[in-house]
Formats: sequence, C-alpha cells, structure tokens
Amino acid sequence: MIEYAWAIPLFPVISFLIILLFGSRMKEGGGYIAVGFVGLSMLLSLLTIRDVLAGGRYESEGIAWLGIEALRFGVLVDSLAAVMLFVVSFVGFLIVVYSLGYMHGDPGVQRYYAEISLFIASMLALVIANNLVFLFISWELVGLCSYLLIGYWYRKPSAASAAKKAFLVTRVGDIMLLAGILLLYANFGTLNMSELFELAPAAVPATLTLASLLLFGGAVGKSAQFPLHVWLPDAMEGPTTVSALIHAATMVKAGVYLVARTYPLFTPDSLMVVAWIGGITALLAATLAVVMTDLKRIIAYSTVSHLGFMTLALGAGGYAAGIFHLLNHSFFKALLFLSAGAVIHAVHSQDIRDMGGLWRRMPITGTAFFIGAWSLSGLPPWSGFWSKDEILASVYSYDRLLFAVAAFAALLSAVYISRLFFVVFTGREGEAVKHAHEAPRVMTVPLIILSAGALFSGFLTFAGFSEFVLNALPSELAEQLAHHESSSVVVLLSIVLAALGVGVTALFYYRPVLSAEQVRTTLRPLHSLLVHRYYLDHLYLFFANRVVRDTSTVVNAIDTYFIDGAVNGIGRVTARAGELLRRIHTGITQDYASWLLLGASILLIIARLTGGAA
Amino acid sequence: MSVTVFHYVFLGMLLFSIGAYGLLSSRNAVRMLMSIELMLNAANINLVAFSSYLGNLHGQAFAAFTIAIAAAEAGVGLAILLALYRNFRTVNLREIKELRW
Amino acid sequence: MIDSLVFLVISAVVIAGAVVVVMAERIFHAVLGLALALLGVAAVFVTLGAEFLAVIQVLVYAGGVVVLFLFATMLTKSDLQLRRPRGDELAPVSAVVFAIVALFYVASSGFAEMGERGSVVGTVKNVGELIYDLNIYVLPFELVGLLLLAAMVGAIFLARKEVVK
Repeated sequence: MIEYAWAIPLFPVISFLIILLFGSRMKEGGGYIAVGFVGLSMLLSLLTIRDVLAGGRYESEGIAWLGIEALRFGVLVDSLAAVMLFVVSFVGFLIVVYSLGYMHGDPGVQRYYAEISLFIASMLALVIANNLVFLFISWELVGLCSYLLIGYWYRKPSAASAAKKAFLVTRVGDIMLLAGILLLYANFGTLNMSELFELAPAAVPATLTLASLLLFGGAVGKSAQFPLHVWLPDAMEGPTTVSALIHAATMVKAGVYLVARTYPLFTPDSLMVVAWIGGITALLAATLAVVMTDLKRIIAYSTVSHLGFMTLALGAGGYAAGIFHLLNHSFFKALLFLSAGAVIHAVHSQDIRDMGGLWRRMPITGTAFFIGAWSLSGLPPWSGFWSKDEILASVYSYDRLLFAVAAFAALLSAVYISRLFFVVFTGREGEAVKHAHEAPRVMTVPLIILSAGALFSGFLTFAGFSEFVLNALPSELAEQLAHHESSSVVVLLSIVLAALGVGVTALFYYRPVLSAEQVRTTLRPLHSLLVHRYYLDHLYLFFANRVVRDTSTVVNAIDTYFIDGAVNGIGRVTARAGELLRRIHTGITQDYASWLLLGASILLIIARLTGGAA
Repeated sequence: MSVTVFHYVFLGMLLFSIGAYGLLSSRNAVRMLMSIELMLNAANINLVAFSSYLGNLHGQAFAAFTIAIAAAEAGVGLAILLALYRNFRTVNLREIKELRW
Repeated sequence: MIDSLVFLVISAVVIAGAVVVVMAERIFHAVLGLALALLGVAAVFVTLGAEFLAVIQVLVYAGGVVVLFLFATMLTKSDLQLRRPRGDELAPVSAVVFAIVALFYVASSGFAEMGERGSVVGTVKNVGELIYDLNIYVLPFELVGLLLLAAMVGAIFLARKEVVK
C-alpha cells in the first residue's frame, strides 16, 4: 500500500473540485462529499502507516516538473511522515464530520467544504513531499487556505483583517524559508531531502547554520513562534472548526514538522536558536493565556505556548519528545477547540465572563473539555503528562536556565487551563447559559473519539514510540539522540508544578477563597501589559505604517518625478523640437530655395572633408 | 601675372553668388528673374573659359545653346509674371503665401 | 600684363552691373544694370576668343532679353524695394556661405595649372562646324529650335488678355 501514498493527497483534491463545481446543489453544500473523500484519505493513510510500522520506508522516483531535475517531486514516507499522516487525516476526518453539525445552516458552506478539502489535500502533500520546493508549494497552499478560512465570514471587518494579518505575518516567515531553500540549492545543487542529508555532514557548518536558520524562519511564521506569533490569536475570527483543524491540530504543526524533517541540516548553533525561541514563546504565550477573557483566545495562546514546547524540545535534542508532544497535543487541543465550539454554539457567546455552571447543561461537552484540560495540564496519567515530561527531561539536560523557563511555562499551562474550566463549567450559571443545551450527535461523537485519543495516546511511549520516530533520522544522528535520561527529579517536579498550578487556580475560581479581582488591581501595570499583549501588535503596526509606508511614499515620488519625468520629458522635447522645426515652412518659396542652397553648401563641405567626391 | 582659367572661374563664381543672393532675397519677381539671368551668364562664362583653355570649341557651342534656352525661359517666365500680376495685383511674391504652414 | 588689366576692368564692369541688378531701389535701374552686366559678359567672351558667342550675347541677351524685361517693368507696377526687414538674414547668409564654400572648392582644385589659353578662335565657321556636325550637336540644335517654338507659343498664351465672351 505504501507505494500508493501519492494518492493520499489526491482524494481531497477531487473533493475540492467536486464541491467547487457542484456543491451548491448538494446537501450541506457538499459536506458529505468532503467527509467521504477525507475518509478515503484516512483509510489509505492508515494502510500506509501499517506498512511503515512493519519496517517499511518508501521514497518514490518522482516526476521532474517541467523536466527540471532540481524540481523532481516525489513521495517520501517514513516514520515521521507516518505520524503526521495519522494526525492530519484522522483528526481532519473527525473535524470534517463535526463540521456537518457545527456549520449547518451557514449560507456559505459550499465554500467552507471546498476550502477545507483543499487544505487537507495541501497539508497531506506537505507531509509526504520529498523535495523542498514541493514542500514549499504545499506550504504556500496551506497558507492560502488558512487565509481563506480565517476570512470565511469575510463581510465581518475583523475577520477580513485577521485573515490579512495572518497571511502577511506568515509571509515574512515564508520569505525566509524560500531564502533558505535557495541557499541550499546554491550550495548543494539539489533540493531532494535524502540527497541533502547525505551531503550535509561534509558541508561548511556556517552555511548549514544559516540555511537551517532560514528554514526555521519559515517555521517561526507558520508555527506562530515569537516574534511572528501575533497572527494566531486573531485567527480565531474563523469558524471554530477551522481553528481546531488548522490552528491547533495541523497547519501550525507544519513548522515543527519542517524542523523535524530537515533536522540533519541543523547545527548545534542553529539548534540553540531554535530552543531559545521555543522556550521564550512557550513562556510568553502562557503568560498571555492567563489573562484573556475570550474562550477561543485562551486556547489559541495555549496552542502557541505548546508549539513553543515542541520547538524547544527539538532544539534541545528531544527529537522524539517533540514529535510525541505534537501527536498528543493534536488530540487534546482539537478536543478542546471542538468542545469550545459546542459551548459557543450553545451559548452564543465567546466571553467566558458570560458563562459558568455549564456542566449541568452540557455534560458530554463538559466531560470532553475536562479530559482535554486534564491532559493539557500535564497531570498524570493522561497523554499530556508523558510528552511534557519527556520534553522537560530533554531540556533539563540541555540548559538549566531554559529548563526554568519551560518549567514555569508548564506551571502556567496548568493555571490557565484550569482557570478556563472552572470559570466556564463550574459555579453559578452565567447569563448566556440559561438557554444552553447539549450538542447534536454529529458533534458529540467526534468529541468522544478525540477524548479517547487524548486519554490514551500517551501510552504509546511504552510501545516504543521514540525508537519508531527516530528511525526517520540518519542512523548516526539517531544514535546521538537516543539516550533517554528520565531523571526522577524532573518527573516529580513536573507533577508537583502541575498540581500546584491547578490547586492555586482552584482557590481563585472554584471556591473563590482568593480574589482574582484584587490580584488584578494590585498588579495593574503587569496586567495591563499582558492584556495589551506586550504591545507587540502596536509595534508591528507602527513599523508598517511609518517605515514601510513612508519608504514607499518616497519611492513613489522618485518614480513619478524622475522616471516618469524622464520618459515624459523625451516626449515633450520631441514635440517642442517639432514645433520649432515647422517654422521653416514659411510658404515663401525663396526661403525654401535658400535652405536648399545652404544644404548644398554643407554637402559640398562634407564631400570635400571625406575625401572629395567633387 | 597672367590670366589663368582660375580667374575666369572666380569671376563666374562671384557673379553666380550675387545672382543667388538676388534670387533669394528679392521682393520683386522681375528682379528675381534678372538674377536668374545673371546666374546663367555666370555658367556661360565658366563654359567658355574652360573651352578656351582646353583648346576646343565644345564649350562655346554649349554656351550658345544655353543662351537660347535662357532667352526662352526669360520669355516664359515674364509671361507667367504678367498672368500673376493680373490675378494678384502685385509682383511681391512674399504676399502670395498659399503654401504657408 | 595688359591682359590682366583688361580682365580686371571688364570683371569690375560685370560685377558692378550685377550689384546694381540686386541692390537698386527702382526696377528700371536694375534692368539697366543687367544690360551693363550682359555687355560686360560679351566682352569677356571676346577676351576668350569666342567672337561668335560674343555677338550672340549682345544680340540676344543685351538686346532681346533686356527689352523683354523693360516691357515687364512697364506693364507691372512694383513697389520700391523696401529696406529688408530684420529677421530676414536667411538669404544673405546662405548666399555668403555658398560663396565661401565655392571659393574654397575652386581654390583647392587644380585649375591654376591648366596653363595658357589655347589659340583656337571661335569664329562662326568653327563653331558652326561643331553645331552642324551630324555626330555632335545637330540634334540638340534642332531640339532647341523646338523648345523656342514651344516657349513662344506658351508665352503668348500665358500673357494674352482674358478673352471676354
């Protein structure tokens, strides 16, 4: 089955085309088509994964695009790709099913399902690409679908603006990625991944550092790491299913995947940058999540934070740990988003201050959310604990300062997610809750399935997940990373921190022994800083307005006055010359004769000067 | 200093230039025609001079023809001038500007 | 020696006449100047040994053509030659430029080495032999006759009074 892996992205493409052309005539705008084809992709993915588990690794011949050898696009399926295929197709399938209920009745559903299909197709292609340009093309397509889906409700100005912001910010990353690809081609003459990995050990480290950092730049944009994280919270303007699929489970993981995929190209220097950016992002986002009041935004910042954890893990040498967390996170984050979606659907509000005591009215959703939150907080025995623990272990042996940063971020993880749970589901019933009712089955069933994943995916670590993933790397590299120190100090510390976080939060929000309001007032400056997201958005806006716009004004002036001026000037000069010359025609024949005589004289002079023809 | 052909050519050239000037700058059409006659005579001087210094008579025969043609041309030219005078009431060619831009 | 003097005098006469043609205020004076110049040219022909031509020149040119011009001046009323207005330098400039160029051309050519005058004299008989020789100029001679006829007819037609029906 593994040789047919190329067909996996193909099914959703067909779905896209069918829905685009005929969706308006179908039920649910073609939603069932999407479910069907994505389901086929999922089945094929599972069969392919089965082959990989049996020890298979497959790389296809590929087709040289336009006959250019450097652009030979083919398929590469190994253990890393298998993990990603599973995540994308399985979670993708569940979310599309969920959409049938969530998006029911929205007038633009045909557009929705078409764009979702295209997205899943591009994401799957990205995962199995064996050529960096092929990956880049899929990368851009994925970005395009993100733009389209964030701005799904395009008539809403905030949505349109958010879509534009997402696209522009990730563009910064994309340019760096492109630069990295070009640099690699210039130095190695190939863009095929396997070939690059073979050539890498012999290359100049400085070149590799630069190239890998540029590639990482793309990851910083796509995976919303600091400083290009600003687009993700705003991306919540899109439908919640979109947030779940693209901005939690799949697209944002593309950056992490890219780093993992091109890991042999990274040098210790570039990995250090990777680790630090990951750590800073993890902490920064976690601090912001603690003060937000919009349900989806809290979860969004949590995503940014956990992506930071994954990046940090990869940078610190915890390759398997990072990928493991990627897998687990996809389950519980999607679960959280979808349950949040159900909540918003029922309550018609996204502000957590309107909610409270929702458990009674939405037990299934509440349970799902509870499971997701527990997993995220890192408390044993669910999945979040296992992967976070591995990450902390890797970081502990890498750098102590980073470890402190990561540990604090882990603590805050527990804090913000338990805050969210307590505020929304426990306590007195909020205003909007009074009319809430449980979600329909088409929405609750995927929740249940995802819950199972969030609960049990953690146990894969005992099934040899780490070794499985490390198979994707060249053997020398894999051996380097294989040693696994799980220090009991770290394990204990992570449990204690998580418990502490949940416990303290409970004191504020479950049984309000302590007052959150008071903390807010005492720490007003800090609170203000956080609410304004460290003023980063203001900074970027200033840059765009002043620097970029003013520069373009100057350039425009140069263009208008110098360049246009020169061009128009030539025209004007010609016209003027014509105006002057026409005065020769006085109508007086004698003048014409005079000119003739003059001309003849000149000719005589010329003739005599050039050798005398006269 | 003996008189060489050059002197005659020089005379012809001078006469021709004067005639040219007169042709180009006269207001009066009659004067223009007279200037043309001067120019033709200058050419004749040239012809005859070379004929003499080269030792044959071909130049003179040629000059005879030139005189005949010049006379014919003067006649026709003046006839045209008369016709023009009758229509425009002037011989100042500057005032007849149909070709002007 | 004598030759040069004679040549100089005759040249002066010719040039003087030409200048009068161009510069005189009244047309009548200009015509007189033309007559003088043409007679001067006839004298030049004589110094060159072209007797026949000199006679032709006097008869046709100084006689016929000048009379023609006299008729023309009397039949047309012409303004006095006004002072040339400013801004009309084109004619003198082009004429002067031409004259200078021609002068240089002539001066730098090898004419001066041509030597002495030949001794052939252009008597009626000699020139006539050339003109009437069947292999030389008899055809142009006949054609010129035709031309004169055409010119005469044309001039008569152009200059006649309008026929009033």
